[in-house]
Amino acid sequence: MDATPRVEITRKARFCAAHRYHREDWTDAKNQEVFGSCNNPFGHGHNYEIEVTITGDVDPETGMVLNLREVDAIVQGEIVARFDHRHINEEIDEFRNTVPTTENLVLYAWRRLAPVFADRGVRLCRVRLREDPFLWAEFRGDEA
Amino acid sequence: MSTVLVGRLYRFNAGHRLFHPERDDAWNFDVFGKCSFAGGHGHNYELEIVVRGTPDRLTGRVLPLAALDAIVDEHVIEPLDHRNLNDVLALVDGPAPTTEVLMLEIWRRLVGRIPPPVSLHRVAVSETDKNLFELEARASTALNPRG
Repeated sequence: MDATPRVEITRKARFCAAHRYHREDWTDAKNQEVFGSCNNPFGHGHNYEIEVTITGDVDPETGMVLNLREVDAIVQGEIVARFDHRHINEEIDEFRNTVPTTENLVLYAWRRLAPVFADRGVRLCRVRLREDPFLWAEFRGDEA
Repeated sequence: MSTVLVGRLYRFNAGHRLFHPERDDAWNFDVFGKCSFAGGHGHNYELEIVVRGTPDRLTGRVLPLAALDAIVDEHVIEPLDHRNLNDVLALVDGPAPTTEVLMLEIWRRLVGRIPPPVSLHRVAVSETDKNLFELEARASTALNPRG
């Protein structure tokens, strides 16, 4: 039996970005009806918070699952640097034709982060993305 | 398609008094402490509601947030906000409106009202910033009419 304790660690990062909920293939009226104020022209913005949770064995030499310096570098490189002070619809290719809801953003973050953590020998187990204190989306990977 | 959890934070304020009406003051003070004082007291509650579902291919949303807000407002916030919980809760899980009892009742009020295929995943209530009470779908199938 594997006696090594599995530990989850969670690191938070922040970025500020603009977005707009809008579908080109819908009329203005339908966009307004479905998306409300999130459809207002030119977009709006949020102070996003991303919580990244990874799990793995605690390294007996360092006492760490993964050095937080590495965790920060990964989250910074994959997410924060791409999104911070950008307009998501205009500047992130994946969202030119996909509505940048919190749900879709958390799935995007998972797709970027999971393989990078896997390369470091740890498993991404949860990404939680808050657009403000009152709304968040969370993804734990596709269950088998 | 991928299953995503969507969380929403709500706030309401309510009064309560923790006491068992069939026990004496000494028993109540022993069990509930100052929460048993006769006049009652109140809290600023924070309520986390988490639902699970698949983002719609066109809208990117698991469900319209306005629809979730309307359900929570009608069945939880409106009936409880600025009320006395001893009066307005059914108290089926215990004699007094502890946060556990409150949370179980909120779960029951919401679980059958989230429009399928979206489902209620988690209810969490904090009574003050020092405590948090959580209930998740997989641990509470008995309370979930859809199993």
